[in-house]
Amino acid sequence: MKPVVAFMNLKGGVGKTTLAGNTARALADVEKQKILLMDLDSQCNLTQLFCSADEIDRRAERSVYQCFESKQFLKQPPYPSDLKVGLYSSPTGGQVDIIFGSYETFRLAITAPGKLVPKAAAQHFGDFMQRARAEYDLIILDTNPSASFTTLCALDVANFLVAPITMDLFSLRGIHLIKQVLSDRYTWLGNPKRIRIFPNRIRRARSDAETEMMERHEQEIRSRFPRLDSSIMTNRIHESRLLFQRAPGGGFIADRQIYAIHRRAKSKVCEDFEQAARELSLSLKEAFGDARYDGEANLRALRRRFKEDGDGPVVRH
Amino acid sequence: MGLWSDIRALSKAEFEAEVDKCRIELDAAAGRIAPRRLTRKRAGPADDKPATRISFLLKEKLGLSEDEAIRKLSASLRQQGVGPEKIPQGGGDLRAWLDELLDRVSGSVVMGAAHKIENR
Repeated sequence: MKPVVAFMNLKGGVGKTTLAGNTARALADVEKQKILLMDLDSQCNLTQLFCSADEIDRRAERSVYQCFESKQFLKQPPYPSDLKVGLYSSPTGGQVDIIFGSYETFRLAITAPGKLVPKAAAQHFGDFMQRARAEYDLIILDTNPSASFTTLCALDVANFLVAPITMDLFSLRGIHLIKQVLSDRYTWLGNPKRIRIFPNRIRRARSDAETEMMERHEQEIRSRFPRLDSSIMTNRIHESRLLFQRAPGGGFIADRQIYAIHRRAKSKVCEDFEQAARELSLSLKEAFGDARYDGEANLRALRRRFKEDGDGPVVRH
Repeated sequence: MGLWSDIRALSKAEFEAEVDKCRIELDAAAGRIAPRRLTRKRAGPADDKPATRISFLLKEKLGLSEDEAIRKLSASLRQQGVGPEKIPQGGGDLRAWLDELLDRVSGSVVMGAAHKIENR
């Protein structure tokens, strides 16, 4: 099963877009994967990382809206190659493509649910995603913070959730809410292996007292949401002014032109993303199986354990 | 003068640690019980790396020895369904063991297992 990762949190301003974009690039470098980024947010924040507002309008005919467009639902859905724009080719062989967002997706967000048009649109999107899965190793969906039509469509096709948080109770509550409200409809959300909570904008402690305070704060958050404890990533993205987008079209942080004085800060941010990408990649392998570890060796170990315990499973012949 | 130049090169914390060491050695030689640490115990991990934070939690916060930490964390990971082939063998150096482990198991799972030991 190929992973389709939704970057989502019902709390806004936690860094979904920044983390989705830059993690995709780091994953392409680290894991040499072919990755497709999709901007499902009608605010088009991810798209603005790579192009201006005018350009978004100019590209309206080749945007994510075409994946939903129900006018065409009797026809075949488009192919990713019809809509994608190449963003990055890694020297290691990885690749990142994007399907830009469209302000038009807002139309879908305000259509009454249950009507024929949204149903057809959701179906159309599902068909498109099947084609995308065949072409890419990993698909990353950037969603908007409300439970809108496109967000629910993202959860329909996703099988892994990455929830960025700033270390506060509100942003963790946003994830708790997703799990609580939506896990009946999306059963995979009940599996802690399929959720990763990605701490963002963490201050670098400058003194012992600050370290102590931050540790205590993190401990408090973990104890408030014990079920999410083993889903919180240990690698985090530290607070950096470089991550604030000033003008549209800035691109990935690793490719941004900066003053020499900020070079060290940039390399630290890039290292954060690289480490986080490694951890995320391991988590994806844990969730979807990895030939290196989860094949015969696992089965042999399980049989050995049963033998040692003396109460093996009943085998019917 | 020689002593002064030796001392001058030390930071305040290093100087205090040296004084502590001397006192402990003197007390041990005199047959007295070693006094309590004079320097303040470190409040948090030295850096933000996952291995450092997990090692801090096990060694400093829970007071486990390196071997004990490895044994308990291995057991906790197995309980969480991590395959034994992913858990490195051997003991001794906790930091090196954690580095090897974190190449095979995601940090979130390892940290979760460490917190389970803490909450027991």
